[in-house]
Order: sequence, then structure tokens, then C-alpha cells
Amino acid sequence: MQIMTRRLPPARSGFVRRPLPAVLGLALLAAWLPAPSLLAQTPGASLYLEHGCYGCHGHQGKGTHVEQANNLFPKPPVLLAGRTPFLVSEDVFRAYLRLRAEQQPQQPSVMMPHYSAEVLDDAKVSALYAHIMGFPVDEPALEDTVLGWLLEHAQAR
Amino acid sequence: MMEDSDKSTLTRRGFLGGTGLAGTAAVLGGMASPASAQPAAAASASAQPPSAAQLARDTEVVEPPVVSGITRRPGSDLMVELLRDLGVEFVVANPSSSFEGLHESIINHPAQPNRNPELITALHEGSAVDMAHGYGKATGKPMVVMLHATVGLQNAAMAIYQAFVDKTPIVLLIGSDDGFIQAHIADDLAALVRPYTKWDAAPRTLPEALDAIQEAWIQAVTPPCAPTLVVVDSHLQKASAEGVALPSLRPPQFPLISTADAELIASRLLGASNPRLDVGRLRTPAGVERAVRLAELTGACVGTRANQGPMSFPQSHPLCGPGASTDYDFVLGLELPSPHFSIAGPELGSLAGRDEAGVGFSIVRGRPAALGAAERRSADAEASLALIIEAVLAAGSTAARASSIRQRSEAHGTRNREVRLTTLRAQLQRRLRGWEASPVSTARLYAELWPFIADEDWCIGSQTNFSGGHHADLWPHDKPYSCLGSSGAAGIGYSLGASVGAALAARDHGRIVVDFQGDGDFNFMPGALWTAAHHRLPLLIVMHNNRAWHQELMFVQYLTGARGRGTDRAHIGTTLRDPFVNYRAIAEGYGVEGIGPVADPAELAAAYRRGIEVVKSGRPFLVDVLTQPR
Repeated sequence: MQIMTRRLPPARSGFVRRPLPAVLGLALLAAWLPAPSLLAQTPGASLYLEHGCYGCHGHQGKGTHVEQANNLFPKPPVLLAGRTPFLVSEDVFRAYLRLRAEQQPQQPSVMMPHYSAEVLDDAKVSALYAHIMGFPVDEPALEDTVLGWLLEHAQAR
Repeated sequence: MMEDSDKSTLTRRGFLGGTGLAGTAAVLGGMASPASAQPAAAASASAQPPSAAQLARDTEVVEPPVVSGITRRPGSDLMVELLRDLGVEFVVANPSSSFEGLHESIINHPAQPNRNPELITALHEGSAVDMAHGYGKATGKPMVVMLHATVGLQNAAMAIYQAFVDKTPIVLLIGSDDGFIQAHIADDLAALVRPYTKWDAAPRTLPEALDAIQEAWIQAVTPPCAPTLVVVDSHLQKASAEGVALPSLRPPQFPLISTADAELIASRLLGASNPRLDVGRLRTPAGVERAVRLAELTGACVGTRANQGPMSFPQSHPLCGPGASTDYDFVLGLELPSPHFSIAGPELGSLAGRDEAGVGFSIVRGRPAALGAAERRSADAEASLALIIEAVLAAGSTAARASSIRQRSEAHGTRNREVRLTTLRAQLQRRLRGWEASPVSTARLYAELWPFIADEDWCIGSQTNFSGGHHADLWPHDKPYSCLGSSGAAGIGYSLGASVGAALAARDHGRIVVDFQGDGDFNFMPGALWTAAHHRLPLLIVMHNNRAWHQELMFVQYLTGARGRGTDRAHIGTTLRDPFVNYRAIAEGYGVEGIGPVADPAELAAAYRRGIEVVKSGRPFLVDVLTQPR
């Protein structure tokens, strides 16, 4: 067999990453730490990890692509500010967590676990909300990633 | 009707339960072959603990056993010659005293020492069967697995079950030595796995053994394809072969549609203004070639399952796709349902029928009624395609028909390409979500590898559903072996062994095999890494390392939440933390070079570049990637 000599296509090595908004810089830096780290940086990050939020929503709230295997369960939403109604404010977020646990206990959760104040008090909800709201919402352009190369390669076939 | 039928060469012996459909019918009826049917004795057999002398042979430095009747031409030499004539490339085993005769013949046969077949060393019997499973799906041919009596067979049981559900041909040769450890022998060894093997025999003479091995091979490759089993007594392996000849080779007999049906299908394909083929999993690459030929002859657009499993229609073929119009007036289903006409191989029905103890599985294979075609034939689509093509060619062509087919094909080609690119763009856009995230998104886990293998001959040997299966939408699957699909019974521990088997099929063909390897699955039988290193296999192992049995984490987390007791302990028993597993170190321990853990997605391309370099030099490589959960 021959040693592979082909390198990445030129477009691949010349990717230009779009500058992220400065406000997201710290959050992104934290996100790039080796993970799933048990050395979470903030109380909210610790809660997000300990309560397994990442299990359905991903470590940065970007979801887990479970739609690629439709038989999998559950099918969680993306946790991004501006895209998820129950993240519009901390009050709404808290109410959502409490909804079935305390206001409608006779209606057990069929998807998202419910969280009473007993298992996640208001201070923890605040910390968790702050952590979630810090998730980066920006995404690179297709052509700035290897995904763009995939499209070019397919078009050239 | 049977393909390749050559009744003049049939040398059926009374001890065999039958051949072809007759044999299948016997199995379906729950009948074992007379030579293997010893149910009453099996029920009363007792397993005694080994004596000190018996254990000593396995565990201490002792004199080799006195073997009476040493011969220069033992029965096992003939067995090896038969396997060669049947086209068996590999025999995989973990070594055992009960098949040492066969073992020695494989590696020392005077005419073909350790070639055709070559002995492959596995570190666990389950892993050995997984290798045969992957090889069988990549080639459509059976690999032979040697297993040691009760203990080896039971180690292999789960993997056999998966191959059975996955309709994969494998021939199991079970060594048995009634003079050895009593706990290793049984009156009816095959009974241990009979509910999920298609056919078995326990021959008592060397000629019977040779016939049984051939019949096992035939039964394995004849639809419904499945693992088959022969108990090969140690004494038969060591017996003199003087005066014993190899049996005449008997070609498999594939159930075919009738000539009248072939002509009917041909006329409907040619008479339709917008015919379509819907292609499922055929048996071998020859079947895929036939499907391509039929599509091109008739200008039919084609549906495929090539991104879900092996032996289906190439995705990049111009005719593959919905076509210029989805208003199809005749759809031919090939191993798939169709609203008009479907050809699908016979199924093994409920396993309970084979389970004499009454412990059983309900129907685990096929639900023919679900096919729901207006017309359905229980026949092998691959073999039947030859008849249909023949009928299409016999129908002749006119200039008008040829022009119509050409124009239709061109229109399909144009439209299918548009659909492919439009769909791909949309799928790529969705994969941008979490692109920069660490741990690495599962989409990026796949996408970053593509530039390194896009122009290579490649095969995905593992199941991919737990890691998102992103190749299904992003990569074109154009070879019969591009994607080998899932494990069959959704059992865990399959992917590494199956990928090693696929890499054996790839080794001499310049092909790269990729194993998208879940960490939970990996830890069942990591010893397959050593097999990959030892046999110099072109295998890239990409760890989808989410440090969990993640589906189970989600289940437990859901339940803890639903019960209102908090989700902060759901990781107990569902995650691989404290300590984290060092897969690179494990790989290196087995002689496989590795990189990782890679948590920064920006480092992934470099890791893949190094991995592909190593794999192309003929050695396995492991890239451990910390990933998002899914």
C-alpha cells in the first residue's frame, strides 16, 4: 500500500474563522477546555454537568443530533438564547422547570425531567440560567469549514 | 426453481437433513439432522469439574498427549482442502485443544501452508464471530470460525445471535474431544445455539464430516443466509484420510422466481413509462452489478439502502434517486416491499420452533406479511435478477423504445444530481450547529475525515447509529461494502470485531476500513485490536468517546426527573468516569498506534491525517476523540 501523500484541499487549509462577538469570547474559551470536564468553571457549569443537561442538549446547548437516528429518545431542543421560548427570561425558565413538578405533579414529564425547588433551588436555577445564556450562538459559514469542501467535492463529481 | 442446480453431482447422504430448500424446510419445521439430534441425552448430561490430570494439560507444563494413529495425511488435511475448494479465505479462532488437528492442518498443509484459508487469531470467541460477521457482510462469503466445545461456543453465543438476526453467512466448526475435560463436552453441542443457527450436524465419520462442512457452507450462503454449525470431533480431525476422497462440490441452489414471472416483470418494466427499482440488501457484489445492469437496460430510477447497509445500489449512480418524476407506474422491490411487485428471500420464522426446551425467542427475523406488495415472490432477488435481465434482453428493443429509455435515463440523471446536491447542502448546513464546540460534535467527527478518504476505496465496518450516523447524509455510498450497517440484534460489543473482519476483506485490495467506535461497545472485547495489529490490517478506529453508555444515561436521567428526585445521580452506573479510560494507552498496549484524546475540533484533521498515513501503510491506528454525547 502507498503512503498517503495527498494533503487537505487548499480551501480546507485556508479557512477563515469569522470573529466571534467579544461578549462570547470567554464562554467559548471555557467551552474549548478539555471536556466533559469535571472541573467546571462556574457554579452554573457544574450544575449543567452534574444534572446531566449536556446529555440531551450537548455541552454547549447545541443539541445532540439525535434527529439523525429517529428511533432514539428523547429529542431535545437546542438551548440557545433567542431560539428557545423558555429561555426568554430567568422567570420563564424557572417556571418551566417547576411546571410539572410543583404546579402539575399529576402530569409527569414525558420528556424533559421536571425540577422542583427541592432538587434545584432558585439560586441554582439562576446559576444554571446564567450558564446557558452564555453559550455561544454564532456559527461559522459553511464555506469556512470542511463542510464547504464536502459540497465542492460533491459538485465536482 | 433453483439457480445453478446440478443434480447429477448431488451426493446426499442419509445423515444430512437435506439440501437447498428441502434442508431449509426441515429447519423451519424444527427438525435437526439425524446425526445431531440427541435431545434426550442432552437433557440428562451432567458437567463434571475437570480432574487434576485434565486441568494439567491446559494449565501446566506437561508432556504432550500420546496421540495414537499419527498419520501424514490426517482427516483435517482434507477438511482444509475442502475449505480451499469452497473459497474460504480465512478461519478465525482462539486456539483450543479440541481443534488442534484442524489448526495444525491449516498452518502446515503441505500444498498451502496457512493460505486459503489463513488462520486468524482472535483473543475471544465472541470477537472471532464478530470478525466473521463483518467479513460476511463485506463480501457475501462465509468466514469459518473454530470454537472450542461448550466453553468457546458459549462465549461466542451472543455474536452468533447477532449474525443470525443480521442474515449473515458464517460457518462454525465446533471442536469436541470426549477424552478431555468433561465440562467441555456435551452430547448435543449444537443445542447451545440451535435457536439461532440455521443448520447443524454432528458427523460420526470423516466422509460424513466433509459432507457436513460442505452442506454447512451451502446452507450458510443460501437464503435465508445465516450461521451454520458442524461439530468436528477431534478424532475425525486426526483420523487417517487414506481411502477417503473429497466430496464432489455441489453448487448452492438459490430459490428463483419462475420464467413466467421473469417475463412478466420484464414486460412491465419495459412497458412502463416511469418504472422504478427499490433495492434493499442483496447477497453479494454480483447482485449489485445485476441491479445496476437492469436499471440501465430499462432506464428505471432506483431507490437504495446503500447508506444503511451492504450490498445495495450505488448512491452516485445517475439513476439512483427519486428520478425526474415520482409518478411511478411500476415499482419492482428487490429484497424490499413494493406496491406492485416484490421479490424477497425466504425468511426463517419464529425461533421458538427450534427451541426444544421451550425457551425461545419470538419472531426475530422477517415479517413477510409486512412486505405488502400487490404481488410478492419468496425467492432470492439476486439470483432472480439474472432471469429478469435475460427476459429483458430477449424481449428485444426497437429504436423508439431505446430512444425513450435513453431520454428517461438522461432526465433521471439530471434530476437525481440536482436532488443530491440540494439535499447535501441542506444536510451540511444542519451540521454547522456546534461546529466549534468542544468536545467535538459527532457531525464534525465524520465530516473531518471525508477529505482524507473521499477518493479512496473505503468501507465503514462498524455500526454508526450511536454516533449520529452522519456518513449516511454526507458521504456517497457507492460500493457494495461502503456501509456494513448495524449489528443485527442491537447488541453491544460488535463494532470493533466486525470492523476487523471487514479489514480482513479489505487487506489485499488497497481498501481502508473505518470503525466509528463507541466507547461502551469498545470495552466489551478490545482484544480485537491485537488481531488488527498482528495481521497488519488497514483499519482506522475513530473513538466516539462520550465517556458513557449514553442512551442508558438518558433513560435513567429521564426517569429520575419524572419521579421528581433530581437528575444529579443519573450518571451512576451509566458513565465511564473516575477514572476516564485511556484508549490510546489501551491501543498501544495491543500494538496499535494512537492519538488522543482529542477534545479540540481544530486538532482533528491532523489526527486523521496521521491515522490515514499509518492505515495506508498497512497498520491499524486509533484516534481517540472526546465527543458530544451524540
